[in-house]
Amino acid sequence: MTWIRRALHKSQAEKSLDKELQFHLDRQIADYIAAGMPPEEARRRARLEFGGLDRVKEEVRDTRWEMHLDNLFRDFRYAFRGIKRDRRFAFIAILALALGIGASTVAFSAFYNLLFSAFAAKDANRLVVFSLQNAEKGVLPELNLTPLGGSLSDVDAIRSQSQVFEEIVGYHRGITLLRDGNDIHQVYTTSVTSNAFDFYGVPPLLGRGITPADGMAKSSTVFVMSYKTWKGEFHSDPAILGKSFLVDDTPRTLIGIMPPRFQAYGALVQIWTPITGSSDTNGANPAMSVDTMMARLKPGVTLETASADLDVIVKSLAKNHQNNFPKHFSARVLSATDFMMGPYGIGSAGGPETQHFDIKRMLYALLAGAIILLLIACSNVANLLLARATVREKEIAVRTALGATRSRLIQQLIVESFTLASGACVLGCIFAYGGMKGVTALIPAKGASIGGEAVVGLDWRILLFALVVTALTTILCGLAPALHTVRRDLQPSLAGSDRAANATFRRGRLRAGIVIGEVALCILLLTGAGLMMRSFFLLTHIDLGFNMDHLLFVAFDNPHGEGDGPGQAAIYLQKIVERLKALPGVSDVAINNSLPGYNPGVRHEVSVPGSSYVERVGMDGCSEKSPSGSGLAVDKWELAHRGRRHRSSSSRGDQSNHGSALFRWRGSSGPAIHGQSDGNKRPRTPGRGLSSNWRSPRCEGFWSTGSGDPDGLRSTHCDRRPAWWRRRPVYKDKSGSGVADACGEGRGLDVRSRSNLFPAIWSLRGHLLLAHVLCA
Amino acid sequence: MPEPKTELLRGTLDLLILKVVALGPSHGYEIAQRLRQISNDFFQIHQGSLYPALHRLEDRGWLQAEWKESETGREAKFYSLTRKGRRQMDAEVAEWERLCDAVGLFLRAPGEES
Repeated sequence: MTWIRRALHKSQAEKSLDKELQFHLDRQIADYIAAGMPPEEARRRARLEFGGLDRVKEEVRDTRWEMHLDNLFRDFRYAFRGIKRDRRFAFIAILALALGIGASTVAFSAFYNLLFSAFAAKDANRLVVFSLQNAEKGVLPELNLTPLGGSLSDVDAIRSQSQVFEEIVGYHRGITLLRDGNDIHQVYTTSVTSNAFDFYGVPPLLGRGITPADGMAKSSTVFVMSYKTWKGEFHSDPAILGKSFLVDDTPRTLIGIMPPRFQAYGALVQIWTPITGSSDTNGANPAMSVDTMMARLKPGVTLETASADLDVIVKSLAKNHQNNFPKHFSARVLSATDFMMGPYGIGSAGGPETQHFDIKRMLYALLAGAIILLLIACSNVANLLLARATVREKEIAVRTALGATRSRLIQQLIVESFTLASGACVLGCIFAYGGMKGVTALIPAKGASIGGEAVVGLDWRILLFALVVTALTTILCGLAPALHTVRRDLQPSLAGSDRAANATFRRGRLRAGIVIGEVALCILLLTGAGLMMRSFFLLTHIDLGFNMDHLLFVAFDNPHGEGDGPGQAAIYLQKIVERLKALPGVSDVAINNSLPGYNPGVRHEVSVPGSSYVERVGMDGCSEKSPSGSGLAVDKWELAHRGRRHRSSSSRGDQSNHGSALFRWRGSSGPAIHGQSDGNKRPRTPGRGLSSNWRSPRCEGFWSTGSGDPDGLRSTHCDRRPAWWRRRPVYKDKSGSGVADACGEGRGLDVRSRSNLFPAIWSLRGHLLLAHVLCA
Repeated sequence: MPEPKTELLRGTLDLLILKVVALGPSHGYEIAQRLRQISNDFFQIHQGSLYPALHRLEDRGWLQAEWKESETGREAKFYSLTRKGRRQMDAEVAEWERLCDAVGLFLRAPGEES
């Protein structure tokens, strides 16, 4: 009962006020007595004149801020008492609000850190990436936006002609092997122009970054490593600094380790190497090219202005190299955030498994969902408070009768909801802390297209957001009961009668309004969440039309130009297939030009001769074995097989008919039809409907096989690669021979031996890269 | 006791209190008496207005208060004018005089021909 004693104990100010007023009263009485009044009369008169002592005191109190503070303190104490008295209510209210606050804090953290603080670079909001919009007809615009690549002389040309960019850097991404004695590490690498590290402006953790001097040398001999790689693969050993490694068979010295928050020029990059002969140097090799260019806008320049400027320059460049550009195009700049996470998402990881998601829109949806959740929690708690206010009607009526003003009553109610909200804020931040761990864990480490630099976590901005949310919550929750309180008629509640039908009616409307809003929000959220989960379920349970068990996917590059030239590709690929086949545990190998089911080539129009029906399909080049190599179910394999037989029987003597196609047709009962792809104007003999279940996530596809050579290797359609392959600088793949992926089937391997397979594959040659387990 | 003869203009009470206190440090009772005396019983300040006003002025820093022995030997709270209070008073007096002049001019203006 200490609070009673504390309440009885008056503050210094209160005592002083008492004394002052008492003095006044006594003097008045004394004066009246002196004037000849009888003491009793004098006392009565003076008191009468003075009016209510307590009222005067109350009014004096109201003029002083200490008193307001005191009131506030009292209200808080009272609120705590209320919470203690009704623990169940408090528990439910705080838990509900904490979930709302926690969820919106997590969502805001992801939102803010990924969209507004994604890059550690200085002036990151002015970073842009050049892109090329293919304006030719018949292609989806978002599939046809590619990063603008070019030679170093192009970079120099843009730098010298443009007025809007502070500085421009270029880079190209790849995968390579890093050899350290007997250890082989497969790493994602980015070659950057030598100004790239100065451009980015993030100091290295250890050693130094790449400097313009590194680009001067005839051949580059240095590289820089990312923190994650250093920590994960080299156990944070500082001694490796200055050590020499074999990078892609070239000795290079490790000169620097970058800090954790540095993941420039590709979200997965593990090492950076300088492009030698960068701009402005004597040893410049203008033919060296980059696949992406990034620039920093001058302050105040808008994206539109920059796009217009870039478009003019690139169009003039295109006149000299018409082969490198589409017929109709426009060049524009994308903000680095959009490039990484926007609807086009072309900048994501870089690698054959690159997929782009519209993370930006996803984040907006996430934030909206969390805010709706918060609103639901608020309306829930508001309703609870309202119900409680009904119970407390009498208490409040008594307070009003005793002279409590409306503002005092509202203040008290707001303080009560603030107390609940603050409790919820603390608990919500704890939830958020846990939630963020969960969110970060959900972001896949490999193949993540989310900015590698963004740190999703709690910092002061996020905590500030949580506080603001708490304040809003307070108002949202406290407003309804407060309104209810002040609008009410005093008398019936005081009387304790149920005559308050009228009041109940009004209150009923308010409550009903809240409940209606709450249910509406719930339905909105549940529908949205349900749809999203359904989509997620469908995506994870998609039937690719073939059995993915024990299927390995190996992507490889051809850095040495082997197999270049007409007719060489087939021989080269054959060689690789042979070597892969020879690996222990590999039962079959097939060639495919992309991960089956992903990245189908440019859309082709396929028509049946003699019919007006035309269907657009994506095309995926593969060897004939591919469908079976991919482990197609037997009936589908049969169909595929039949298609091949069909071709075999018809194409041998007929030069005009090279290639067969396995169609995914509408329904499995599609007739054997003759199709023609006008992509390269080659008539194709179709297979039968391959599988009605075949569904490519991106577009319906069909496999095309070459003819003339037994495994159909020659005409894997590398000329129809996604742009980032085509524009890759180091590989001369105009003939389409340089890049292809192999599907290998390793049935009967256990997981351990499978992981042993990687070094075996890597050891084949430096150019056989990226062993990737497809759906283990 | 007669009712206060005139409703004080809003804000006037503050000026009157400042003016009274400017004569020398005085306690609440004294201030009330003086207000009545000076104005020939014209103003009757109710304690319910006087004390809140005194505390408000003290809160604003125009008055400062001190507990001192009063003429009867009992401790009383004496208010005195601060420098800030004096500035405020001068400003208000000037403002008030201007208002009076203007109203006076208006009232003395020749009336309509009649």
